[in-house]
Amino acid sequence: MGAEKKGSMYDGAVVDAWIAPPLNDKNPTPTTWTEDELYQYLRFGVAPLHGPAGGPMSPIPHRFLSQVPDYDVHAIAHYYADVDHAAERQGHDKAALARAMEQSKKDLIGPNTLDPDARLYQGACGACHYNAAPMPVLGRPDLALNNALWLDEPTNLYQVMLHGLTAEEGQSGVAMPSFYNALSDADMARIAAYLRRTRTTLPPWTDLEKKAAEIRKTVKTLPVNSSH
Amino acid sequence: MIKFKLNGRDVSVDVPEDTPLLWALRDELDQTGTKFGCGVGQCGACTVHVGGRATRSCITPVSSVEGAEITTIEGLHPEGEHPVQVAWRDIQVPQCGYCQSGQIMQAVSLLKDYPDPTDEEIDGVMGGSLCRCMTYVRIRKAIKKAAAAMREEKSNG
Repeated sequence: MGAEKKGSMYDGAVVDAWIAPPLNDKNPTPTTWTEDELYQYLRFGVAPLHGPAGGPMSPIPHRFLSQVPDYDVHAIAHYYADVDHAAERQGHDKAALARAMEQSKKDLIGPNTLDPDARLYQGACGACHYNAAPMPVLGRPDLALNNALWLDEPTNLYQVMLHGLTAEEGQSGVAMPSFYNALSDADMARIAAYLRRTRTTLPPWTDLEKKAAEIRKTVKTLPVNSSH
Repeated sequence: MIKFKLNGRDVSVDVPEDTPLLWALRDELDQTGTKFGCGVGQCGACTVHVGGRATRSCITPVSSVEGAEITTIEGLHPEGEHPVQVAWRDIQVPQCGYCQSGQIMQAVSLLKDYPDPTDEEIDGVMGGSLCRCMTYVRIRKAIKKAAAAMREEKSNG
């Protein structure tokens, strides 16, 4: 009861209704958590090729690791780059990044798409999350690279859609709106299914609407009042 | 009290934490250039900048921008002479005008990310900013004109 499972060290787990992703080589993001990505994330709250720290992780960079000596943060980043075997895995990053940049623009450029899910994504998310090759812009978190789409469940994607991010969280000084009132459970399910289908190479998530309702129930304080 | 910087000056608003930023701007701070469009983050009319990035104010809680720097259409340039505003006037982009402050704020942030934007990049970033008068062709033209003017400004130092 409550004992550590030694065989599952750094495999990740559910914490406070968010998924803490694996820190070892089971981490599913397309590009590797290299020492530099880890350092940027832990020191400043945003990793250029992985995205911002949200939920229970956000205070770790912003209220803790931003206050400790820089060499300590470098040491932690160095250690976890070793844990996830970054050196052996990062050879694939260039191709993974190129694929993500191709996926990122799908349905957002060229003739208007007739796919209603793509149109919902374009209206609600595309203006901020679109990226053009060769690299994502810092401040345009690329969803094709973000662990929220590559985990086994849509938990973190839903959490961020519902809460948004405050100016303190994630990338300092910028904010993401809260779609709590703007998207129904069915809308969130459509966007999640669409993104998983078009921005990853993984099998579809299941029971998306039911899971949206479950995550919505974990939101205790209404993030934003309805504006209409 | 929620404090942030609005168009370069410190402001504070005494409203519930879950108040949409749009209502704090319009009703408490009298900045009515930012418009209410759909109210669900789907049209872009309420776009302002938070920390320099285009953000839909109708569904952003004011508490989430505590300490941040907000720019609205009123703060883009003291005389309304931002290169994007100049290009918008030269090409006479607006028809009814309702969505245009959102369009301009989105265009300004587009040019920060992509100073020489291709048609694809314009579509990618601007595709979520809707205009019922269909001024899209002139918006594209004005963005390219503003981009050229801004590059010129930069090369002339």
